[in-house]
Amino acid sequence: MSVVASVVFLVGGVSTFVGRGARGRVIGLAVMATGALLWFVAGAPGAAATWWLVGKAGVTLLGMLAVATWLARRLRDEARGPAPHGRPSEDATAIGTIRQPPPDSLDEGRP
Amino acid sequence: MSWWLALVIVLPVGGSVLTSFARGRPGPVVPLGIAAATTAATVGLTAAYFTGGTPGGARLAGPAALELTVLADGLAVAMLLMTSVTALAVTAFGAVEDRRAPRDRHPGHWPLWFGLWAALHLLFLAADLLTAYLMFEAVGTAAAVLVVLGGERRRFLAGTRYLYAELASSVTALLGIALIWREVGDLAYSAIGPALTDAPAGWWAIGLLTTGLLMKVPLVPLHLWLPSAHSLAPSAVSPMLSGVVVKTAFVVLVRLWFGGDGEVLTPSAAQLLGGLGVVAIVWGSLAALRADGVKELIAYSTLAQLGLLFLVPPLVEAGASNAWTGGLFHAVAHAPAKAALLLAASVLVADTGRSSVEGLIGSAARRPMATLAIGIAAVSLVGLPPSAGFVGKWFLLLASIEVGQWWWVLPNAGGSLLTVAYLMRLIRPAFAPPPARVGPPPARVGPPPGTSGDSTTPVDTAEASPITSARDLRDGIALALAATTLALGLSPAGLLGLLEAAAPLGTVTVGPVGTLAATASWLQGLLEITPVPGLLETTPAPGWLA
Repeated sequence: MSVVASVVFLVGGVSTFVGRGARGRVIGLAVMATGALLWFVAGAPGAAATWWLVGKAGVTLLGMLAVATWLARRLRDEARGPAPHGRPSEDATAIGTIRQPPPDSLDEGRP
Repeated sequence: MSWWLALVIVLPVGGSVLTSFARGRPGPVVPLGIAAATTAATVGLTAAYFTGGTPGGARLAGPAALELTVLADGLAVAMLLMTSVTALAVTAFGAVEDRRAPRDRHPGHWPLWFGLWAALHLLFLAADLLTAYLMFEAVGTAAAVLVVLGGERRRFLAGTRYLYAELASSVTALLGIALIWREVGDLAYSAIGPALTDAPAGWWAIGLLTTGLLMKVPLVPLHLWLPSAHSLAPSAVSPMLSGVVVKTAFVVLVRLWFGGDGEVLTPSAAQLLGGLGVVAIVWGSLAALRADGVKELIAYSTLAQLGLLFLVPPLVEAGASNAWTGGLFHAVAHAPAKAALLLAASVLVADTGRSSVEGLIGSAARRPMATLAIGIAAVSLVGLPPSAGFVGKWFLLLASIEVGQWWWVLPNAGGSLLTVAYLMRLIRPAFAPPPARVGPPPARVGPPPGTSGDSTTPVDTAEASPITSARDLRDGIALALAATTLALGLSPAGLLGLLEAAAPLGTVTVGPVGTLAATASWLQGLLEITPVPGLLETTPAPGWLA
């Protein structure tokens, strides 16, 4: 189990730092997180305290990954342009519009 | 003491809930009231600590790992004071901005702001690694979203990269925590050290956890996310990021390394960390010397100042009594100085609409109070007496001499010279006369000057705002926060006592009176001065000054 956890963690780490695009990085981070949580289970499988730790850490990681996914999607949607009929997307009104500056080289979301 | 512990956590949490029910636009009074109440609770906790004389704690009952443990020792109380004083000033600054331009504040700002404050308090109070980890997640998420709220694309990208870096560092640290759990079966700071050093995978656990936390600090070369995130963050957010949030990982690291009886840090690893600190001092200072933007310069300054903190590991590992006190004093003193610098710089940038250093030309005449705040903050960051910055650096110098590690004196002193060089880039233009304008002023292409919120919009206009009166509260808030560094420098005994009480085992704590006597003795030996009988004798003061 510890070997599997290490491999999962390393694969996630490589894809996070080498992968292109916001979505690739979020997926890589999620795989890394899975590997780290598997190490908890590998240490003391079946122990209630271990599963409690995994639960606490896992829930907070899910929250952060959800926010990261949402940000990545906003970047992708903003790169693709406005919604049909010129209306702002729901995400744009939820967090506030992303004002359009002149083009620059920091294009994270463009294909 | 438990009541105060509860209040310092419940009040900011309540503030987050209350401001979210107010649809995020509660006006200036509600956030200011919550901030004042939280700061008062922190002062109450400090008073209870000094009255009781021993650390207080609380634990939600349950079997191992099924509990939340908080411990208010001297280090935690000092960090809570640093957080509350800085956050109070920044909240007041934001409240004044809201009064000037209420619609510029994003509805999510205040709920996230108080959530960040609560998470910071819990993180500093955490007595075990998992509680600290959970609070790291909360702090990182809240801080990253605060950076992106309602901003332009560059700020959005910077905040997103910040969150990615936080996630990567958190997951790396989590793997270290998982290994510690596997090897030790306990995550309390006090239990980790002795058990981990004998464990087969102990060094892997320490290495992974240290690497993850160094990314959070961040220590050069793991710093790539910081300059853009801090320089592009809103004016009511970046002081907290640069002043307080960057200290969280360092506090957890020193608790991990020096919290128990075991020797978690080897001499070579400690020297390596010190070397990386020197690299950070030099690299951050050189980058600040080349930076074009005001907030960009200050962000690189943060990297350099954080590098100085990493002179602590090699000196404490060698048993230096003053390194613990000096390094942590520097960490606390840096927060109000950096926050005041950023608040004042935000005022000047918003005044002219120019984010570059050239935009500060003539600011001493337009905004004398903000310029004075920058000057006072600069004195503390350089480490000149009687500021608080001097006390921390002086103790680190003494520690280097005490254990014979002379090579740390050069980066300590040299860092101060580099700090003078890059901060003079902010101060010198302030006293320069504005250039004479030829022809009509250029058309404005951005938001009018003096508005709140996004003072980092890269608008380049040469039109200066009218001279504003000193009644602008934002200048006064920055100046008041800068003045706290002088007050702390003139009376450091209280904070020194808090930090000395939490000093790790194996180091001898020496009060400030004793330190002055030791310094005098060293100078006497160096200069072969004939001692005057009775001059160097000190009478230990009662309590923590002995």
